[in-house]
Amino acid sequence: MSIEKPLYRLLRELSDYISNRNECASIVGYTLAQSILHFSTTSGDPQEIKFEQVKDLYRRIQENIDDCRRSGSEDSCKNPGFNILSSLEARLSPELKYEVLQSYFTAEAEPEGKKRENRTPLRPALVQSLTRRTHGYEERLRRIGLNLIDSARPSKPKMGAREILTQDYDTIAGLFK
Amino acid sequence: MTTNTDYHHVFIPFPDIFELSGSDVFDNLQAKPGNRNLVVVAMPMVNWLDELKESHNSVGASDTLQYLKEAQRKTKQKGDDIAICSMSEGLDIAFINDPKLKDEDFITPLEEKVRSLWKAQDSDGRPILMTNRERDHIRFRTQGMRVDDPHFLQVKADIVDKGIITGDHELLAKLYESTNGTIDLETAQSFFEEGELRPNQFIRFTGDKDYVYARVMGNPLWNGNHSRMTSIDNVRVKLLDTNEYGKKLSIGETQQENILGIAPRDMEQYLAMQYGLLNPDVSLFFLCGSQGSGKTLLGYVCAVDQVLIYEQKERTKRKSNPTPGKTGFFKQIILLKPNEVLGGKRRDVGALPGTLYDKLKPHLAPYIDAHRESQLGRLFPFDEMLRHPHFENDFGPKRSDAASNTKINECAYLPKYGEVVEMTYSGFMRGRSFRDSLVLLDEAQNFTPYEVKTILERTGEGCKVVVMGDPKQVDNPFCSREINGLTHALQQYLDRPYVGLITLSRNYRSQMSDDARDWKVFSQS
Repeated sequence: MSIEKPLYRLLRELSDYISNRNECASIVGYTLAQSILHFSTTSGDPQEIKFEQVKDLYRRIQENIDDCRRSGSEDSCKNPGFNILSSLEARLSPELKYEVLQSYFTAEAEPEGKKRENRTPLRPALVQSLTRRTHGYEERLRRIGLNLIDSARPSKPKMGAREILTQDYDTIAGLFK
Repeated sequence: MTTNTDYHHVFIPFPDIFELSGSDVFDNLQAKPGNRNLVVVAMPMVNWLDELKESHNSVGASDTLQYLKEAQRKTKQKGDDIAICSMSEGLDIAFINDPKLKDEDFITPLEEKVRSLWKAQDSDGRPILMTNRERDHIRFRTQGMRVDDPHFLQVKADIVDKGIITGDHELLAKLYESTNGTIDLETAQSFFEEGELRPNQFIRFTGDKDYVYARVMGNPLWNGNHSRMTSIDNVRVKLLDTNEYGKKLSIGETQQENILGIAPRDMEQYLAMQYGLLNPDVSLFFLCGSQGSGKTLLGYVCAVDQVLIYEQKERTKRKSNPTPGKTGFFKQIILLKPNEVLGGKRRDVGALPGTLYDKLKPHLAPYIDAHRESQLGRLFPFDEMLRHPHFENDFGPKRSDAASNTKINECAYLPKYGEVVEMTYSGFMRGRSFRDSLVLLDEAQNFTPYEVKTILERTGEGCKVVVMGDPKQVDNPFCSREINGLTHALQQYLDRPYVGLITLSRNYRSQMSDDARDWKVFSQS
């Protein structure tokens, strides 16, 4: 297992394309929420679930970077950040609203037929951090994104893939403490 | 002497805490009603404070020494080497003058002595050493002592991100449906956490084609002579007019694309200039952002524009301010920088060779660059801004007639009654008071909270203060990301109706500069 680009490197690359910190933070916040809410794995090992979660986030941030790169080569798009954020908002808003409302009125129930291990332990933490009100999660996602950008640490030389994934997972989990 | 043993907490604050917060430390260490705390001050600490006051011009240390001198008048118990003063229902101060406590390395014997004299009621009964210095935390914890941070001084650095917050589509839809794009604060507040909205704040929405901004605004209420804004009435949220996205700046009845040749490059810069730097109703404005975000450039040109003497016709148009008695223009710019940057490590500027201007020049470089970049740079050099129009001053001979008579913006001149920019620093603040001045408080993250408090106390009538900084760039060894003058001042003032905050989130640095952040200064092998 090798990590080509850890979280710090990906976030730096994204912010090279999207130089407005607030815009970049909102994109990171939405991408993290999307990754956590949509995540499922067949692995039953808690450590593997954590690693898979981090890799899923890597992949989604990389997709954002690729989108920026593509739109940079097309003259028609002047602000790739706005386009990515609008599309993330449009895709995720109904879902987030549903999740938030769901947990606002009922305790989170496990859907039938779905194993608990398939979900990331970050999911309840994320939903809880978004449920202080039914509205206003956009601002909280921006704050989460800002915190993630600020707290992601570069990997040290000779750090193994598992160490990098653990470091990045701890950084993400630290956002919800 | 018998000692009291029923203290809830016993604190030994280190001088760095007093440097940061002055005598306010004692107020913060008071116990809640029903309890009593003890703060221990040993003579070596007093010597340490005195050294900070004498050699580092520390206003916090100076204030603390003054407070301690007054405190000794309230002595209630006195022994051979201990005096206890009762400061309030919740606080005693114990002065210890034990000859065994030497100036060097006195903390360990002091902690032992305090532990033998007073047993705190809290968990383990040990006194709490209080410091912000990591070195002391590591050192004394290793010895089994109890060391704590000054939590009462800590402010989360992300307070700077509260100037522009993100709004949701439902709120935006409500604003679009409303008359004039305006809704009352109560309705808007229901979309956010309690107390998240405040006057002069902005909400950013993701619109159909670009970002849309709304402003939290109200009608300022003034005292009788219009010198103080007492409150703000009819607070509401209003969408910016569509023509504002063209980023044209309004001053009175005039509309202009730039200030002295500097135009806002994005909406955040526009909001900072229009609603903060150039807004006469905002008398305390916080302009934050990383290096390269443009805060010095915008702060400088907007400040100079407000001290220039415009020709009568133009002045009338620019002064058409709706608030009677408030002109929105100033006599002088006071530029304040922390002692750190004026001659190295909290030294007096005398430590550097050359004239005062030579000494300060390296530290004025951001302003010299801003001056050159603006329209002024083509008319006269920056040092003319520091010179008096009629007399010689510390910065050299009187201002040249050419500079004084140069027409700026086709209708304005440099003021003829004094220096345009006065450079000073916090060590010289005691006893001063500013009137009708625009104070630029630069690198506020390197001021201690107490220093910023002292500076803001000096502002008289007709002043505007622009506080600039970035909590991520702390160089002052006494300050940290959580404890510094910038974040503290924000926490203290952010809810006031005359205060604005914008954090410029886009930086205009080069890719090379950005990549330097990833430069690993250690061996790759």
